[in-house]
Amino acid sequence: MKAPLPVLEIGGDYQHGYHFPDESVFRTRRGLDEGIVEAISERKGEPDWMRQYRLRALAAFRKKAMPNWGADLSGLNFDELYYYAKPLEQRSRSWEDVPAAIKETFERIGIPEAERKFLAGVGAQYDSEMVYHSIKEDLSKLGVVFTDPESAIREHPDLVRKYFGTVIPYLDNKFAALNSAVWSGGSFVYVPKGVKVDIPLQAYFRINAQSFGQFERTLIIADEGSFVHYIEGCTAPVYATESLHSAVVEIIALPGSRVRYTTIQNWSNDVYNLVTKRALVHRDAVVEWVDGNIGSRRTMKYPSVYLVGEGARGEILSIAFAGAGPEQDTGGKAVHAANHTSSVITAKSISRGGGIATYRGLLKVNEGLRDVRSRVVCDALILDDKSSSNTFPVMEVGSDRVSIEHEARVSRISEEQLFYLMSRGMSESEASFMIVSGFIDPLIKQLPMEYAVELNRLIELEMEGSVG
Amino acid sequence: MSAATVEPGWMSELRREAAERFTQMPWPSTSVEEWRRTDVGSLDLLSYRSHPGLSASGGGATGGATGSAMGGVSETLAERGVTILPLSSALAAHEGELRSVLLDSWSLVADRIEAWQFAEWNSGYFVSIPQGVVIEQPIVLEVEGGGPGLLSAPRVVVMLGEGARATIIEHLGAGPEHAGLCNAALDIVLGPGADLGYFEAQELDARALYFRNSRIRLAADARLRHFAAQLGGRLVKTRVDCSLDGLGAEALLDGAYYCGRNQHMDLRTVQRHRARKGMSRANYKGAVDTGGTAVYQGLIDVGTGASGTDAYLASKSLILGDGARSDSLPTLQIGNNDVRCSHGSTTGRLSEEELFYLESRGFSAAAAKEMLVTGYFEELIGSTPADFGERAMERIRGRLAEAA
Repeated sequence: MKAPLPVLEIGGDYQHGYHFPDESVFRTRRGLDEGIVEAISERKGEPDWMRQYRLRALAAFRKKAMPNWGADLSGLNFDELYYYAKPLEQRSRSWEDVPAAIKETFERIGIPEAERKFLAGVGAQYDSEMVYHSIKEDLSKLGVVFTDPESAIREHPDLVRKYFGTVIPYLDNKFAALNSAVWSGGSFVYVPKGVKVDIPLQAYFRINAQSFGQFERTLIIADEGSFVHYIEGCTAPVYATESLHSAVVEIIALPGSRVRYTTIQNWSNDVYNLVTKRALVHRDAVVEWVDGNIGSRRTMKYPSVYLVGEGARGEILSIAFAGAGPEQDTGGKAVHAANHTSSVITAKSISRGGGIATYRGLLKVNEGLRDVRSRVVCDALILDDKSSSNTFPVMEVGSDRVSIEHEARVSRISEEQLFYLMSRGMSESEASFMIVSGFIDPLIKQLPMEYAVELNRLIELEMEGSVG
Repeated sequence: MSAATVEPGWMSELRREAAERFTQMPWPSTSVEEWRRTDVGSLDLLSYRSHPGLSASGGGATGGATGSAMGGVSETLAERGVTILPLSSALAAHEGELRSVLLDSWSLVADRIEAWQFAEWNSGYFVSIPQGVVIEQPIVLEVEGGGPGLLSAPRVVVMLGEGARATIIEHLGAGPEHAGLCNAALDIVLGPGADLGYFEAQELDARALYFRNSRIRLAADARLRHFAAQLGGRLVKTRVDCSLDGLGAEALLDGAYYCGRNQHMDLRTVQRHRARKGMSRANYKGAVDTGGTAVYQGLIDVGTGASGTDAYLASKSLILGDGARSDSLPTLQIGNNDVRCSHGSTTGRLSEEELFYLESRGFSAAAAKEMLVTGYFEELIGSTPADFGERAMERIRGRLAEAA
């Protein structure tokens, strides 16, 4: 076991800023062209339809313009990135088979607590390939599929072909096109009719190779009346050059099902995190996104719900913490395309140390609908005078039988609150942390315990030295 | 009007520069956020010819209690140093003030429509109230909306000296003769502690196109209320941009709109906090009926130095029928932590219960609707000067009757 490399100082302390030597066995050259896309497809032994899909997506990627809004992406150079790296070995069957180096990385980021509990449900991604994957036996007996998308193409070709790219087509935006061309790894989840998965399915993703873009692809299909909670958590080592993380997550919630998708994103602050996440919510189905964004250099991420069946419901809870360096441009979108649908978007952001937190959201009600309800609430806390906060909610309402409410507030920690807590014997930093904790509490409550603990720890870490 | 009016050189120079800028710029594209919902690319704006008879007139103005005829000021006001003149006639005599106001606004020009106004303005007023002068009676300005096929480009410049106080009512051409293209501008500069109420009623013909850029600057402790009633026009795109430049300034930007069949309204307010302890409120209420499209874009922009800012933005939209569309974009850009900024926005329809209640008391469906809609607007319009408010409310009732 080699000793971890020392932490590189990039704009502040990053607790998870260590990495192990890059041991990838196959890596494409820098940059992107047809040859690289073909090589990725070849390496994965994909059927022709997927190869063609990737090539069409590459053409779309070249044509699509960069977004002219949102975070500053001028530091991103597509030609300097590696688009594919294959790690050590094939997918391991059990925890014992996971390479020791990778295991130790997991341990350092605090997985063990969750690991012990949910060992069987974990698929973790190291670089762009699943290295560890096992599924609890009773789950597979129930017909639940939890695997990487490469295996799903082989083992469940009909399901993949039927749903892949139907929620987020490659023409959707430049980064969805890029992901569609070079995707690698991710998760594929299928929950059969009426099956309720009572433990959360978890996948950890990590970037390890320098300047390496990670393009995981996740497809979740919840069949009629089923339930599943999927958890994605991220942490990455610190590197000097920019890395790009551009995932695509598609959820199909068939009638009467419920899907909850939780993310705690804590990329190190050299990572561009540009992610497209969208759920199609059918009749009487419910989709909940719980999205926490702490790290990264630039994040642009707006989990979306498209309510296409009567009685569908969508909930988006988003929290962003913008410290020194990161620009968090996050939010949520709800599109109502059927009668009797409802949505709630709750966004909380904290900016400090010169950070920029931006809420950007869309609420759209298509024409001629009745009984549509929506509520969008944004709260922002600015902790010092160097930081800023923006709110860009967009509401497009094309029907008259609707009830739409929106509120936003931007404030700082009040002197009175601080004074009160300090008069009770707390230091200023303890008092600030307590107030911040209270501010994000509604969100923390939605998380499984281990995540709540981890998120609290991360916020505490981010808050260190925020006053004084 | 007066043939003797020859434009001073600085103004001709500014017009030339504006014309050049106009030629270089494209029409605002829908890929720019502010113009995303209003597409002017397909309109043949250049087919509108500059209004021939306007070049020197202001339109019509009555100043103060005695209400003298166009362009004039009652003797009592004149004695107190109040100026109300057609803008073109004021250029020479008031060069000092006007030049700096217009150049400031010119430096902020954001798009081709606004540059066009500078190049082509052909009517409007200069209103100046000296330091310490308080005028109780509203000053009423009649502004030219532009006849069919014609371009009217009125520009109103209002300056209030330290501690001055006034109320101005602007009527923008009502009736079928105002069916052209109106590209209007308003510059307001308030000195320290000045207090202005500005009430604009836009009642253009249903065929008219209407653009307006209002640039407002407030010195320390100045107070402004800018109210806009947007009632007419086929396409309406306005921007009220208010900069709170001095310590403790206060601004209320409010308005009411009725957007019915074949109408497209895109209204924007900007509360720009540039100094400490400013207070601002934006409050827009609208009703959108079948076949109408309304967009409200509000921005609170707080600069890094503007600590102690207290800003609020509210928009309410009432949807009266199927096939109405209402977009609302209340945005915040906050670069300072010592602030209280918030916004609220609601979109909904008339309450079924209230309609049912009124109908059960013998009101017809149309009468019940009218009652509830006027009640909805009363909160805002009720606090405007009486004549102005009654006229706006009358107009809304008329529009509701047309729609029924």
